Amino acid sequence: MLYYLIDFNQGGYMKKVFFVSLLLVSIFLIGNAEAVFLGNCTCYQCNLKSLCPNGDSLEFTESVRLCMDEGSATIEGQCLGCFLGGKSLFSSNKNFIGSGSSCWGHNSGCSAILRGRLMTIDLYDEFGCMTQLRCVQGGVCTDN
Amino acid sequence: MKKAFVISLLLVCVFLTGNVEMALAQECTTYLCTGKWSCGDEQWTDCVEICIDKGYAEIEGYCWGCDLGGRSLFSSNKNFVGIGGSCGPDLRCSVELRGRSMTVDLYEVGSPPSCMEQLRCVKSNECVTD
Repeated sequence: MLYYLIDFNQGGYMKKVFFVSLLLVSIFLIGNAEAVFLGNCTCYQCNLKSLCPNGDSLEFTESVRLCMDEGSATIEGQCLGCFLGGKSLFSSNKNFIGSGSSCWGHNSGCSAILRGRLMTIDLYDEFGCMTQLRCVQGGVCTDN
Repeated sequence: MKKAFVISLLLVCVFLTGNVEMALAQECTTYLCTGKWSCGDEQWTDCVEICIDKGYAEIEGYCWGCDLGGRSLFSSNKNFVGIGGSCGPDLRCSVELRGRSMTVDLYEVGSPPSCMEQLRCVKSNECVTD
C-alpha cells in the first residue's frame, strides 16, 4: 500500500515536471517565432563619440536599429548606417565587420560586437576619424 | 649617495632613450596567414605585414591592404577596424592581435550578399612580403 502511495506521488510529481517543461518549451518556441516574424530587429540607445586626427570631436546620443539575418546584419541610425557580415568564418551572430557611412565620414570600416544587452560599434572613415558608439538595448527607434 | 645618484640617472636615461626610440619607430611584424572565402571553397596562404603606430596601423598582403584605426577611439593597439582595397573589390577590414596570432576579417564591398574573407595568421620571420 505504502509502495503504491509513493509511486502515485512520484507519478504526480513527474506529471508536474512534465507540464512545467512543456510550458517552458512552448514559451521558448513562441518567443523565437516572434523574433523571426519581427525580422530580428532590436533597438539600442547609444552614446556616440568621434575623434579626428585634426582634433575635431563629436559627442551625442543616437538611437540605432540592429537587424540580423543568418550571419549578416544591418545597423541604421539617424546619422550612420552599416552593412555587416558575421566574423569567425562568417557564421557569427555576435561579431560583425562591414561597410559603413556617417554624416561626417562617407566611407567607413564598421565593426559591431554584441555582449548580452550591450553593443559596441566602431567606425574608421576615409578621413582617419574614429567613431565609437556604446549602446544598451531598449528604447524606441524612430523610422528613419 | 653619489653612486646611487649616478645609477638612478643612468636608469632614467635608459628609460627615456627607450621611450624616444619607441616613439620614433613604427613597429612592423610579418605573419604567415591562411585564408578562407565565404563565397567559395578556395583556401590560400599569404604573407602579411602589419605596421602599428600609436593607435593606427597599416596592413598589407598580396594584392590587398588596409588603413586601420585602433578601436576605442584610437586607444587600442590590439584591435583595429578600417578601410582598404584590393586588386578586386574595395574592402572593409578588422584586425585582432593575440600574442603571436592575428585574425584578419575582410568584408568585400559590393552588391549584397557581400563575400567575406578571413585570414588566420601566425608570426613568421621566414615570410617575405613584396
